[in-house]
Amino acid sequence: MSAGKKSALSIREIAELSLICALMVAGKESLRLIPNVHPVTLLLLLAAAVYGVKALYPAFGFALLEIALYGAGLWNLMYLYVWPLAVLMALPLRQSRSRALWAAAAGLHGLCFGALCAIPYLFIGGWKMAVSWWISGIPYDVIHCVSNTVLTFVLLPPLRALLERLKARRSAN
Amino acid sequence: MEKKSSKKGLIALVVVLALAVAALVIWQVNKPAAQKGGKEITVNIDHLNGDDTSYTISTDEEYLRGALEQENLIEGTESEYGLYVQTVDGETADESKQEWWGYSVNGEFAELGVDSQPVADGDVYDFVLNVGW
Repeated sequence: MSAGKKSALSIREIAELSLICALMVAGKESLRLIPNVHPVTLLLLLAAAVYGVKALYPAFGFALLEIALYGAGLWNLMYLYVWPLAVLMALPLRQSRSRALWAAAAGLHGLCFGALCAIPYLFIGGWKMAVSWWISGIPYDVIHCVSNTVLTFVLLPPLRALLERLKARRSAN
Repeated sequence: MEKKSSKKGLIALVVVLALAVAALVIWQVNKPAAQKGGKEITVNIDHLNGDDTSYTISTDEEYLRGALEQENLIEGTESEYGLYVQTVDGETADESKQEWWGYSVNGEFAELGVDSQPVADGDVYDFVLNVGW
């Protein structure tokens, strides 16, 4: 737990958080054919559970890598706040071991994804444009919600235990 | 303590799933109504090189994507919000040159993607290959 309290990153943490970031990109791209099914939220919540606020590094890193891959667009702005928000949402849950609570948080992020991404449209075309954009994407948000919930419910506890065990072994050495 | 946390988690999970159902109801109530049966629509395509084309399509499809795919007029990649159209009438937008396809419905800039855009008899769709984000 100490890693979350120190602000400076150790070399090992840089490597581990970079690996999580790389896994987020690889996971998203390899599942590209199934819209909105990917392990990005799972990995961000995992990073937040184990590394605390330092999980913001892979959140921003992921957004920047996706921008480098796909170029400029309005979605660039959305990615710069929507993924860090997943980390901020997860930070108060760090002490919890309830897999249902973590799965609920992941599901909520997926469900709100479209609404969060609609915020820039408020300023471009007003509330009508933002709301119609959000509503037209609701089925995709629901897929996002269900897939996030299932992936996090099944995979977060064992992955967290594994990472924490590795951290404890490292501290002992 | 662990049991209490687990109970809270289950309640949170049920709340999120209930919100998902509520969101689907909101979508079902507000989604643009699709028209069943035969329709005739016009699709105008403004190519970058000036070779503009126009097609009259008879279709039973309820949404624009189906009507355009029926004529093999569009291709693209699946995205978080449906098909991201990259090719229209054989011309592919070059993203390295900031090219992108946009379209209007009866003269008004479309707010929906081709997957969600309902097709009505007599509709006119204008596709334009734009340059610059």
